[in-house]
Amino acid sequence: MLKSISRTDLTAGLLVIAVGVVALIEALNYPFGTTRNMGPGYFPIVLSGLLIVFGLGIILFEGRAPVADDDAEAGDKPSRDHIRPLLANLAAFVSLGLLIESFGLFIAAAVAVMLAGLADKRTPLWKTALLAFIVAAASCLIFVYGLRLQIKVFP
Amino acid sequence: MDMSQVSDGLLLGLSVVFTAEGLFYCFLGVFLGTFIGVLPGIGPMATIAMLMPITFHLDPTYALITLAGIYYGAAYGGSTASILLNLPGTASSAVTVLDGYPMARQGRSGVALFITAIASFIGSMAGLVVLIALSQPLAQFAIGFSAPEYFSLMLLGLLAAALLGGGKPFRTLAMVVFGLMLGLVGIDLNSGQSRFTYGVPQFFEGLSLVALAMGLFGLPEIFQNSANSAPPELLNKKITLRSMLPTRADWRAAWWPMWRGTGIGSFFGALPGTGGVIASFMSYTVEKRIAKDPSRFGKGAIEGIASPEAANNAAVQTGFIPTLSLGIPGDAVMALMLGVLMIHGVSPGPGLIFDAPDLFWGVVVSFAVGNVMLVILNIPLIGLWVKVLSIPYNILFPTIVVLVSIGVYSVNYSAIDIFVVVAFGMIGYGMRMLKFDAAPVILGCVLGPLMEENFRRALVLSNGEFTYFIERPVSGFLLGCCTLLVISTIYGYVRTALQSRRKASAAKAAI
Repeated sequence: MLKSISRTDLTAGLLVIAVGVVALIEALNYPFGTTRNMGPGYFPIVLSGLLIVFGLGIILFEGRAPVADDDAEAGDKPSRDHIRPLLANLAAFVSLGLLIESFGLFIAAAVAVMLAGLADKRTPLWKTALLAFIVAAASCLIFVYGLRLQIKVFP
Repeated sequence: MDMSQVSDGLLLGLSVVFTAEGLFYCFLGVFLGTFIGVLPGIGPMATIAMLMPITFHLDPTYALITLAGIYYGAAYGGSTASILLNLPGTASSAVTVLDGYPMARQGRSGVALFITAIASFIGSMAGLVVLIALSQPLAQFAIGFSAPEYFSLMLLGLLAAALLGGGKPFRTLAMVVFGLMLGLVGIDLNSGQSRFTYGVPQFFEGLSLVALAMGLFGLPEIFQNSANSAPPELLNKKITLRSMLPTRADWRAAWWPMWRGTGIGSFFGALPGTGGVIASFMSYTVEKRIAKDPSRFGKGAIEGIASPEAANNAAVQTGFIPTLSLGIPGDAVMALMLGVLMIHGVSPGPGLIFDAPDLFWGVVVSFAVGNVMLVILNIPLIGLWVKVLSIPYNILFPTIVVLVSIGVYSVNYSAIDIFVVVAFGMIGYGMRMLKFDAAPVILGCVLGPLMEENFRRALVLSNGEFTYFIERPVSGFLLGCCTLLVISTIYGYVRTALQSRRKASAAKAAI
């Protein structure tokens, strides 16, 4: 029965405990009150405690569950194949957030599509560029001129 | 049940839905739902999260009609991908793959698509009748509930969602509690104390449910699926209406399974914590067990698609019973719907049916109308969805990124909201890596403030005596159910642990 705790479960459990501890430290600043007249700290403190207990549960029970992990564990591990789409899409969202107010929707949307297009390395650049133009133009037409959202189109 | 009340209600609902706006939003919902359901990789949860912003500017009734349409529309569309691609479009149509794909390989994909559409329709409509029949009496019963009953009911709902879902119990419980805590972020209404805001002004009013749901569900699905450029290989590109028509033998084989599936689905849908996924698996097992020749299953048995599809769609409809009549969401999708209502200033609870009859009946009638639309969308217009299946991902996902960002931005015209979503997206992605399910977080986040409020109120009423929760009969009964649930989970865990140990020692002895 002495099985080693799987690394995913250990990380998961420790993270849950960490969140519980951080929340507990914060919640201790709030007045606890009494059971009859609860302060704003009562519920958060109880919840933080539960979180820590469940975190331990993940490590102690799920970490060495007697049932073999049926779902393929390798599929979820971050690998090079996962990093590329993750970064490309994050860059797309962030760029849109940074550009939309100063440069307007058209440029922001086009840049976002270009970046998101990098997620798949087999897509030729001209295809992404064409898509960027179409999506940018269409979203300006639909959202700004059609639905009349108050968004600047050009810088 | 008072029949005249129901007919008055239905008339009221008809007057809400049969307007240009009502029909438009109903169609919009089911159309988008089918679209998303057809695409493998994007679930209804992600879609609803991504489309929530557009419903902010609508009347709450139309907002709910649209979002609900997405949900049950996706339950229809999910089977299309299952049959043609061997990939479930949604989790609840995973079972349909087992016999749907073999049918397609035998050249009977048209029949399979037709039967699933009809089974979905029968399941939905029967589920809807159950919804109409049960909601009002249940709400009437619950209208006398006070704080302890609400607290116990929510506790039961959360425990059921955590323990019956089939996931790992501690992980799910941790996610429920994490969600409850996220729900507490903001200024406490009773004391004015700001909690977990860490000085960020955007957090004072609480975390945005849109940002949370979109980040936890929408973004990880984009991150995970956007790397594949080529859509999966399709079995049949052209499906003629003629090829869809089932033979008389097909009808006979599928008819009763559809109704059995409907019954199973209606039951599991109405229970908190169980839903379409469990119902569809359950009904498949039942069909296999009662079949004269169980070996046909997995090789294209028509019962194997008719029953689960009916079950899954019936469960979707009856899933609205606790949500609309008690204000207690049975799963994360329902929690989002309630969240949307609350954002619109409608307080969910047993009073909803009586205080906002136009909303309740409008939504109910829209389900019926939406299901008729879905049959049209899924039988004569099936060719459209087959085309949707061949949209390359490298066009689809960049477009979704832009639409999602504009949607988030348009709620408050604040670019910061986009960054908040991105932050939750990273958390959501990390959670997937560590095998945490995000659904209980949403459920907890919506219920967190409600639970705290009712817990506090109950203890004020009882002068701080915890026994008050047990003394009140309804609350005591609900807490009894909670205890049973916990005990049975522990029992199940210990039993499997013992069994595997026995197996291990038996294996050792054999060596």
